[in-house]
Amino acid sequence: MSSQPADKRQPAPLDLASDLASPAAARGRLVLEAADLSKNFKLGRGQVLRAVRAVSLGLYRGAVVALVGESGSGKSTVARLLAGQLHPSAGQIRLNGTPVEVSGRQAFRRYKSDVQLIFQDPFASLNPVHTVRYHLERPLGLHRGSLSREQVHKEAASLMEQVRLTPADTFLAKYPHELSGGQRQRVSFARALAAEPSVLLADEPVSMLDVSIRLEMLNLLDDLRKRFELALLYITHDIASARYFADEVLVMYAGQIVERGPAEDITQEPAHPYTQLLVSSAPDPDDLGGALRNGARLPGAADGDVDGAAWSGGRAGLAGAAATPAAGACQFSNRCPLAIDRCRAEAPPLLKVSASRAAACWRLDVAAPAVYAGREGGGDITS
Amino acid sequence: MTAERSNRVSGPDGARGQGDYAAGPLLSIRDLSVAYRTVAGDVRAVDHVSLDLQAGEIVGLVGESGSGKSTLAYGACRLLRPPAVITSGSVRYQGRRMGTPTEILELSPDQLKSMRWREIAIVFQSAMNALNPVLNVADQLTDVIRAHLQVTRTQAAQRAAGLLDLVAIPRARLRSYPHELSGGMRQRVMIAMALATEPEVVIMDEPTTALDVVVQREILGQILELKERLSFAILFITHDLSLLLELADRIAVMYGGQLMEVGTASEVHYEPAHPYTKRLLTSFPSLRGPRRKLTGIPGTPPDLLDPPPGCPFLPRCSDGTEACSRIEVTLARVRTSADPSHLTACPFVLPDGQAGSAGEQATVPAAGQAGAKELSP
Repeated sequence: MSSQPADKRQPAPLDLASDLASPAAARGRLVLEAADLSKNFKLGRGQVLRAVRAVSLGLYRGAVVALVGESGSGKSTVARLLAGQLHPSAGQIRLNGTPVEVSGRQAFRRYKSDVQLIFQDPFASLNPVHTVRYHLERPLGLHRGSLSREQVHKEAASLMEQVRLTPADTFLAKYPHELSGGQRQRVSFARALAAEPSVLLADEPVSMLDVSIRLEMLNLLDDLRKRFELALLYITHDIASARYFADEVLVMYAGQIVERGPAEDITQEPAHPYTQLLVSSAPDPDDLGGALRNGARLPGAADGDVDGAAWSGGRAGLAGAAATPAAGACQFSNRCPLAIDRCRAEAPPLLKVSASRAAACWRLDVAAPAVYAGREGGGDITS
Repeated sequence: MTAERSNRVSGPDGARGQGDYAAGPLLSIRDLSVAYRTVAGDVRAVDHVSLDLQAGEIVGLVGESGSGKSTLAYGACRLLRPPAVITSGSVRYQGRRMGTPTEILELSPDQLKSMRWREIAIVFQSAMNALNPVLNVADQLTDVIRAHLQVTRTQAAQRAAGLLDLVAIPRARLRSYPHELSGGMRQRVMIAMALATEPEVVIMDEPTTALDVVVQREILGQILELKERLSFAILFITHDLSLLLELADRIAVMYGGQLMEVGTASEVHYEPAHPYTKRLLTSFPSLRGPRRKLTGIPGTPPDLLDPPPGCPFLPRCSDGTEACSRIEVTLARVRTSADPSHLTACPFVLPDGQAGSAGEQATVPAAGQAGAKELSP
């Protein structure tokens, strides 16, 4: 797909996105910050899986940042790094400006009272042999040590009211199996809130729930964010819900952030070819089957085996196929219809296209001409 | 192939002549009820449901978990084990290869066995669990082929390779084990397996739910392509209405074990008649177009052990009145719809923008019943 003129033309230089203004910053002050966070997993036989590569993001009080990507893209690994459950291979996590070094049980617990994680599967994340009361009173005891027994009871009841599981006493006495999926997820919200955190990391909090319940849960989460001024990281593969829910959207692919910016901009005018693929793959109810039926090919499907490519791209090294891009190349280049030689040789950094928006792509001028042309302070585009 | 086929398919109740079939629905579910017998009483998971599937049609069955959509499909194929009991109804299957219609609920176990997969195949929801982890793809495919067709080992192996071609998986993957395949590939192996014996009806139970959007789209495109090529009918079960609007010809909306609305995709999208359908349509965020106000559906689905009287959606319905608790839920024709097969279970509410005067019935009871009956042969 390499077109001669484009190759010859010197692309107008885009600035590196080093001083990007997060759209989430308008909501409140910076709480948790990740700087060039990386995580490598050793696979044995000298192979290394680079699950997270130099991810930087900031979580601000009262704001929602969405992390969007396919499975295997490293979204959950980012959440686990931020939650202190994994040690980063490189990079730094800063909580309220102080670098965090989570080592040892005490430090971990202290960190946990600020940063709480909500898991995807409410069926697996609650202990089946304990009542709801236990699930709430244990974190209350651990993180809010000075509470008396009576206060703990009162706090647990008030938490249940916060997540609207009323009457509180009835629900506190129940076991997880007596609750529906939505109710269980409410319990895990309440459990996370028990520590009075300032940051909530929600790893696909609604993807296991029914469509009719999902929206209610997202609204509840949004409500809790407002009420407690939580800094929220919302991890999802559903970019449509990110549009409604998030201030800033980060799109992840093969461990890297390939595009970031205000939610509405990213979803309505995606610039990176991968984001475009993601957006075009979302079901379009208004289309009533037009595109799907007419066999419209997706950008990434041009070479046929999209799925296989995703497999090797997401889990580089495991499949070890020739389709896997080299370590130094753009990781999307094997699926990208716009890929040129430069993409296969040199990985693009995040390039700034506006004050609050960036994309990691060498071919932005072709992939998203409007976004490219509208960029701020842009140099002349030679043509 | 054809010779083996008729040989296998026709049951002991007489050789079936070719060609002698009326143009009726391929699969006709009438008044089907399935209950789970528990100590506390019967859970009425499917309550008097009627649904038709025409040849070459995609019917989408949408509902939340516990609404009975899988039970309906599995019940119609008699795949349910006790404590599930079919308490009423009939399921008539009239395949093009079979001649006379067959009443599935009256078949003997042997007849059922020859019918399953041969005529009606299922793609199960979780491909990881549905594939055998200790057998490779080739073994699993040939197993199916040899169990349902009388072919030699070599023929079966050839057919297995052809099936992988069909779903665009390289033949080299025949020797792969399920854990070596990606989620999308596994699901495609499941689809290939369902198509192994060229069934006329394929039931797909949430075939793409566990997959990424990009892969999901690929597979849906492939399903449509295969459907065009092999012309089978699909009963597509999902909880994602936005997906069905794009995929299905007709959509059946299920709630609390009963059908709430049946209509074409465009009717369901643009003129939803039942309050539940209307609420469902406003519960998923859309990626395109202006940002709509999303309301969701407060409340929880009914307890089927002790269902509320009247309409099962009443406790969550914003249009509900006292009269709703007294109605008997039956599908009837939507009064304002030109299409006699657009059916709703709500007699009070009209599609948006088509105000009826108070007290006026939204459905056409007499004609509606007739309309519903017209569908059955």
